[in-house]
Amino acid sequence: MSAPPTGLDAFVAGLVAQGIETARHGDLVVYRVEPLVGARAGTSVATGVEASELSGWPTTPPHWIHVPTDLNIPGSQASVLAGWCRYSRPHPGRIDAAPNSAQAWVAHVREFLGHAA
Amino acid sequence: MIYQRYSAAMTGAVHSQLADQLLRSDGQEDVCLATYRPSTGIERWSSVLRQTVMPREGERLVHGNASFSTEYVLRVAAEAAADDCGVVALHSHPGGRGWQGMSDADKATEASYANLAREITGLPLVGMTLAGDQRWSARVWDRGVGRSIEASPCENVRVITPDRLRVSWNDIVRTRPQLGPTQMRTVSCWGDEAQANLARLRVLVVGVGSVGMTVAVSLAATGIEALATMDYDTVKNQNLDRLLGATGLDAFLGRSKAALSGRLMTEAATAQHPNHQYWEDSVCEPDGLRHALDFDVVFSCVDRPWARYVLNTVAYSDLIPTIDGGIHADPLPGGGMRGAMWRSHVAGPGRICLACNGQYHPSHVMMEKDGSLDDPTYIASLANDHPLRSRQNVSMLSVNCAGALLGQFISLVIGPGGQGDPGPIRYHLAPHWLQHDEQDACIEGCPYPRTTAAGDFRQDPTGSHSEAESERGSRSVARRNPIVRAGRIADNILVGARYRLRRAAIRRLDGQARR
Repeated sequence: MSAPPTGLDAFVAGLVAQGIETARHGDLVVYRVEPLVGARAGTSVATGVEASELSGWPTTPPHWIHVPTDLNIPGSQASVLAGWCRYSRPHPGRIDAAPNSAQAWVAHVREFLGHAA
Repeated sequence: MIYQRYSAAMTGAVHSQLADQLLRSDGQEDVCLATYRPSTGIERWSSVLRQTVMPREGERLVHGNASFSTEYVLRVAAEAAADDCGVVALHSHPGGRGWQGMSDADKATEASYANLAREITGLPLVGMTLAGDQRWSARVWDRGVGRSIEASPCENVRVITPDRLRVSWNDIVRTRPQLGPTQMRTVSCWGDEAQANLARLRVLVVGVGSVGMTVAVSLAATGIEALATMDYDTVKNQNLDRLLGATGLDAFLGRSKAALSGRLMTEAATAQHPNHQYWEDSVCEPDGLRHALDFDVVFSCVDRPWARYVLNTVAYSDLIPTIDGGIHADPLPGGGMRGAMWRSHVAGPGRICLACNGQYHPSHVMMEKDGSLDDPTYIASLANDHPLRSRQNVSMLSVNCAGALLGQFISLVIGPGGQGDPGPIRYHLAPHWLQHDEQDACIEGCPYPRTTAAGDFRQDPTGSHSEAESERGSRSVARRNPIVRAGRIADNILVGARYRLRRAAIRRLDGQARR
């Protein structure tokens, strides 16, 4: 009957459980993933999520994916962190119902990073 | 903690477990314990039953007047405290019918454990009685301490089954409504008892646009006593083709939709003692949610994902059935109409949730929270057929959707022919086809069924709602205009005069009816 943990701490714990370390840079929770395809395939790329977007994790997943500007993916907006930009990339599936929500989010980000130059 | 009202709620599954334990085949009284979570509104405090904890061998005595052992109470109180719950002490009156009073022995038994349960859990003991007709009664031991502890009576107990809302009423705290001559035709449709049940429900309509306004006015005309609406939006010129009762004057004077609904509900009310309220809040704001927790049933007449997410949450966590619906118009690109569809469904324990039936997407909630859905540039970047761009609506379609929602309400509360709410339904206009959705349960892994009866320990779905704040701010600015201010004063005087005239007419009509 009991509900699983939620919010920022649950998001961080979910990443840590996958062996992904996180760090706070201002309002961003920053972590690194390796895209499987694209110009950055196989390299470790920094990405982040705004902490305020994680209050409803995983029932309401984040909207924006933040990355350093040097990834050169078109369609960006300014990020809260200098030298970074953000992209509107809502998760298309039911991340709240996924067996492992953090894993589903990382897969979503990894797919997006496949567009990096 | 003293509240204006108290209530208790449980799922049909919990009710069945308790009835199996308490209504014995040998006709003797029995007892058991359960745990609950509080669900705290602004005026109402509800105990939402979470788990039954049946007695082990030797933990209760059945001897005419059944009793608990102290070990049983201690065991359950410790389990409850570990789960952030309080304790419910339940017993049966197999020969009783309807809401049960308390004998001196009943009072002494519950009072003797009330301090103990509160000390261990930090929450008041809730006492409940199940009568032989499966009607519940309940009280909360929240007043005084030690030997002077007293219970506050609940006004009702709500049992939410997969297709019905069954409510047991405390006729002393919430008296049966007087039926007036204006309600003769309504009462003749389903009888005094159903009307007494229906009219006492506390019903909230969230969103009083084209669908919600029609719903609210219909509920007022049906005689619902405690009816409220909530909407932060303003009547605008572009609403006038769909918004029941709205005029160009309302748009010019910057009336809120909530205030308009208040006026229309007052004019439509047939209850002898209506208690109709309206709030210019968003249900996504903390106070909006707390208002919602004061109600037995909520109509979700909103068109945004965040509000649906909030109402979906409380449907499960606080056992408040949410009747939701919507309209999808399908215009042809070059003019003309391919079709339209309106749908209705009830969210709550045992039913499919609003996320699983596609009424909102969880990822869109954050898009609304961060203001993207109110950013014209962002909306323009979405595909033409994106659901977040779809704003087409027609008054004639809205009335149909409102009718579908009200039909769900009647089935949920009255159950015509013994049948409860039919599950999710859609009406397709072009072929005039009524479709019952095949998927009537949540997808595997959906978090909402797991949050059933979480009460105040739900994940907080609310936050600062900048769009609502902005809309209310715009109204305040508009009202500073001297012409608007003068217009509002004149309109208020006319509305007040009309209200007094109407009351006088009703008194005369009632007098004629009595003669």
